[in-house]
Amino acid sequence: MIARHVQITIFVLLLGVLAGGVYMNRLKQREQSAAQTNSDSLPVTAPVAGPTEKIELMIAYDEDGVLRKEQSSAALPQEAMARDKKILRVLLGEYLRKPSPHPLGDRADVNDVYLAPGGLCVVDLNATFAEGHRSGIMAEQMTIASIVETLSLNDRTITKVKFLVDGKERETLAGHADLSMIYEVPAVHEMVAELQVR
Amino acid sequence: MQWSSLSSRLSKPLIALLVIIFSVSLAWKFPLASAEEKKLTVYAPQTTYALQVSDHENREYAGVYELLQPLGKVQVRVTGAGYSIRMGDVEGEFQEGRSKIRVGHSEITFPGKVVIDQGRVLLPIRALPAVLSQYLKLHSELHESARRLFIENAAARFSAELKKADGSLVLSFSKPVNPNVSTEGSKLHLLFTRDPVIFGADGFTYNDKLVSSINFVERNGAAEVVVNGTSPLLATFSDGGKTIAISAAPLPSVAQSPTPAPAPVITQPAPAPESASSAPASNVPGTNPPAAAPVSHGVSVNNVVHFFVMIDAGHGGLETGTRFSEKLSEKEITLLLARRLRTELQNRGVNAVLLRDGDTTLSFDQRAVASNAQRAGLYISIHAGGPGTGVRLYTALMPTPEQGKGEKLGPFLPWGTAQAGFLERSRLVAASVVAEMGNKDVNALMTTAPVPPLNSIAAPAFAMEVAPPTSSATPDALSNPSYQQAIAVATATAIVNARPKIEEQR
Repeated sequence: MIARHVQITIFVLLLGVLAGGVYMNRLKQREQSAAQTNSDSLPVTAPVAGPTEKIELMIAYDEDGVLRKEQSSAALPQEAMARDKKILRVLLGEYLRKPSPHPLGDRADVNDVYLAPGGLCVVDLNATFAEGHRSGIMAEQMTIASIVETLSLNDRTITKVKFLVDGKERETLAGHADLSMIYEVPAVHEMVAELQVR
Repeated sequence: MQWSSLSSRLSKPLIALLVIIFSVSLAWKFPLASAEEKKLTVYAPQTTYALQVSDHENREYAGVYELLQPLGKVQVRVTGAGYSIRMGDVEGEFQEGRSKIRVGHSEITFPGKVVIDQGRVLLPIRALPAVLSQYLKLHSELHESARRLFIENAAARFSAELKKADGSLVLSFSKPVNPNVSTEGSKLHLLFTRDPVIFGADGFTYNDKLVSSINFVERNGAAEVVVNGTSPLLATFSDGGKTIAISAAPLPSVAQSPTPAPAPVITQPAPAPESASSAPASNVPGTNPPAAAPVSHGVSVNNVVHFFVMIDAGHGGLETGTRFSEKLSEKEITLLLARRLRTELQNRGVNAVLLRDGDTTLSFDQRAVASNAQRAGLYISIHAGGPGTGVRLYTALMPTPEQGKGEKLGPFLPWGTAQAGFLERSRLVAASVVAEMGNKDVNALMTTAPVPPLNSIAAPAFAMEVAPPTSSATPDALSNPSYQQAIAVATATAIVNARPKIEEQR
């Protein structure tokens, strides 16, 4: 016969296990419902008045492992840096949709785009962009190629792109692709051309 | 119903339930560590090769086809009751579950049973000498605990002589040897992974001011000689690799450079032993900044840098890489594949070293330093993950040199563009691997990518990312032995084919 206090302890522990299970289930449901309302996390930019303009996007398609040039349109600001930032947000909007050809983490965004002399463009991504990015050489390579190609297609003055994350240098995007280097547009063109050959 | 009556009825099942919940949660939280990869090294007069060893019913087993195939033409036939394996005019019959086999005109009885695993005939390694003697009509000797099998007169014996006159210990071998050399304080390790080295004793103790003792250890298909000194030691090869003289290392005077400039003193590849499931970063050979590595940690080899492949299993330690599930992460898959590739290269006579052979955290710079400082002939970085299918080979995405253009740097290379001079050969060997993957029906492609530390490697180099074989396959397929084996075999074959080109201009 087991002592009564031991029995009570066992019952309390069992109750704790059951309560834990119920709590975990509720957490899971909450996460699922948050994922369903993902469209709320698309980057929001201040509305720009005026007619829309055609822009070219280099969209990554994971399933085929290629990047495809596609046309889109948006109302763009006149100022060059705000314009490039807006174009990148249109690109990210494509990736944040469900289903996505190249999924990014929720709330991935571009903080700012800076243009420096010598054709250098500095893209400052938010931390969520890097933290939520899928890890893998190809997944990271296609993200970088898509951004660099889209920028160079729409702003011919850009010859080099440097990435920052929340204003700071970062070694890699998600463990594989180098973010410490400056990406030169001709080299990225060549890389993309190699990806297209299947 | 009374509380005491209810509780007494429910208490036993409840305790059992709690024990199950506790056990399951423990197993989930602390999964059993993966077993050490065991191998059996076979030393034949004409070749040396390694076999994978698996455990069945507490016995160690190896494949019969894999044992015989490097020694001659082997034919395997499925018979009604099992498999028939023929080599020359000798045929053996193997039936699953039997503890007796017939090879030629003889019957062999052994402890354990024949195991058929995915079409492979496995026998306890203790039974292999008897099987070999029937097929080859040659005597063989098994060092069972060390998993080393010597056929006929393959063994290389050595003697150790202390030369008081010049204060050195001279090891004289009956055949040329090519060990991996490493130092650890005043200890010098000679690791023989392919050489059939045996010694008549476990070791000797010396009453000498330089060398205090020498120990000989055999384990997991390899042999190791450990020389314990009173100060840092230096190994010098001569007589075509048949003599190794161990003497006091010179005092450090010049810092080593990670550049590929010719140097009279180099560091030999020094892999961690197979049994090391975890090793601190400081134990990884050559990963310390070159300026901190004194010359005394080197090995003089008559100014000749031996070709070897540095295999870098991506991630490790705190850097898990892609997490495919709770139990499967990229760092584990890359290490498994790296070990397979090393075995396949060694089976083809190519020296190969793992940059990490345990769960070690290494920075990209440490990886590049280790490869450059040891003068690797080829560097391979292994990764795994999606999207897509098959294998992707990446060579470095190099920036156009602008800064310092035309500036004379002497024997030094800029750290971020050290790969520039090797890019053509990197592409050549990567293309060779892609072609060989095609021969093995593995989907493969080659491109450039910004994968560190490729740009800093001063040798032909490429990164390999392995994705599942088909779009319907789960990530678990990445650890599938037959898929990994096909990739390792194709890569090793391609490297052997491309080696003459790789070694050009070395």
